[in-house]
Order: sequence, then C-alpha cells, then structure tokens
Amino acid sequence: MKTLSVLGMLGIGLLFAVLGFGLTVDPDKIDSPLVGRAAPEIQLPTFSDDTLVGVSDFRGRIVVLNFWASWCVPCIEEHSVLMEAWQDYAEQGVEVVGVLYQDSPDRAEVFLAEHGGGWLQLHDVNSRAAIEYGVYGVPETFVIDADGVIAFKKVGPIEAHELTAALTKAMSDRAGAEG
Amino acid sequence: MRPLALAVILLLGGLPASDLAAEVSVQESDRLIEIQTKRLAAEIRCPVCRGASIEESPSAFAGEMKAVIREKVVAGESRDDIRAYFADRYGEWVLLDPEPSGIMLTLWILPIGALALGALVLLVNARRWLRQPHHQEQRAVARPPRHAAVGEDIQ
Repeated sequence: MKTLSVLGMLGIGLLFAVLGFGLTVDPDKIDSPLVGRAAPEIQLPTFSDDTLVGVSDFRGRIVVLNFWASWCVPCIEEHSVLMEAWQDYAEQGVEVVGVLYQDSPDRAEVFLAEHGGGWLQLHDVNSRAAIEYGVYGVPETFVIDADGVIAFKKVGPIEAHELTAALTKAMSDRAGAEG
Repeated sequence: MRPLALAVILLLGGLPASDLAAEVSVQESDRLIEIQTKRLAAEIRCPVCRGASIEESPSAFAGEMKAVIREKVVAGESRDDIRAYFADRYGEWVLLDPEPSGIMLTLWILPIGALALGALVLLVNARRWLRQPHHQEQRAVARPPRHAAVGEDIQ
C-alpha cells in the first residue's frame, strides 16, 4: 500500500514537472522546422510597379529576408541593423529583402522616408508569404544561403551580432562550396 | 438556405430543371466545403492570438490562414495533408490537438497511469475495508466486556 502511494506521488510529481517545464518554454524560442530546408518559393510584387520577384531570383546570393510592418515598434529597433548589413555586405553577395506584412506600401514608404533604407521591398498582399514561412508576427528575419536553404530564423528584432554571425557562416559555407 | 427552399424558389422563377439541379448541387457543395473548413480551422492555432484557433481568432492573419484552408479543401486535400502543411511551417505547436509523440506522450501516459494506479489503490483499500467488520467482530468475541472482567456477577 505504501509502495502504491509512493508510486502515485511520483507519477503526479512527474506530471507536474512536465507541465511546469512547458510553462517555461517560450514559443518565440521554439526552433523553426524550416531551418535547414529549402526556402519556400514566393513571388511578390514590388512597391513601385508590381513587378513580381521571387526568392529563387537570388540563387547564388545570400538573402536576408525580413518580414516587417510600419506599425511594428520592434521593427524600428532592428532597422539600423538591417541598414548596416545592406551597406556592409552588398558587395559580398548579400541581398537584403524586406517583405511588408499586413500593411500598405503607402504607410511603408512613410516609414522608410523617416528611418531610411534603400533595399528591395516586396508586398505580401494576402499574407501568403508569411504563412509559407511560418511567420508568427513581425519582425521575423530569415537568412537564406546561396543554395536557397534557410540557414537561420530570428523571431523578434534581430541584433547586429546575430545577423553578423549568421551571414558570416553563410558566406563561409558558400566559399567552402565554391572552393 | 435549405436546398428544398432554394429549389422551390428557383422553380417558381422558371429556371430549367437541369440548371436547378446544378444550382442546388453547387449550394450544397459550398456548404460542405464551409463545414470542412470550419472544422479544420478549429484544429489550427492562431499564431497571433495563440490561445485561440484560427476559427475563433478575429485577427486578419487568422482569416488569411482560413482562406488557405478553404483553398486546400476545394483542391481536395485531406485533413492530414492540410494539418501537415501548417505543422511543417510552424511546428507541431500550431496544432491544437497534436499527435502524441516525444515529450508530449508523457502528458497522455501519466494521467492514464495515475488513474490506473488510483484504481488499484482503491481496490486494495476496498478489500481491506470489507474485511474490517469481520475482524472487529472477532476481537469483540476474543475480549469480554470490561464490566464482566472486573466483577464476577453484575446482577
């Protein structure tokens, strides 16, 4: 009888331990199932003339794909990080591409006029690109390597050291593949 | 609108029988598609309002995800295929009722195990409780009443 009681207490304790562990898990830190897989192909219009641009158009280059919105406060935080990456790495075969999420190009243009930025901007008209990339909300940033594989995903504002590390690795992998 | 009521209205409007049948069929088909879409949307978690399903969530993004479900239902994709589509992109957590595997399996096994253990404890105790009155009677017979032990004869 005592053995059964002890076993019962142990079982309940284990159940609470598992549930408690679950409470400590931050969904923002859950690994994306897309990392290590081919980047989903998307074809989105530019702001200016609705020309369709696809991720596959950049094969051979490393892509920083950034989902953002003008109403997104953390997007302001990370904007300077993206600006620096665009300026510093363009000549090393890195492309920064913005994808506008749940927003209008007009409002996006106002944001860009205020905060700067000259990299390619695409409009995710019906959020299909966001769904394809498993986006929870903005900002979210993907680094896609030269082979079109998602090498890195960040949920939330990306920090300079994170982007530098991801790009350095992608460039190193590309150099290794070319060598 | 119920198919019969629609049929009556269209017939009175002079619609040819073949067109009538086609219209009713389309209406019924749309209704079935909507039912399937709602059922699946209720199984997928809204990534924006994470405590709600896509069906419950008022967010525009949930609406877009539901539109994706509807397109896939129309295209004839199965329930498993549609669930897998979202799980492949977001992870298993996007399913409100994920398949039990990995650490999630413990959440299924432990409660069932605890119930089984509890039933066993009850069974063991029930047998003991049932034996107890018999034991009490035996003790009463073995030990005479206190007043009789003190005096020879109460009378």
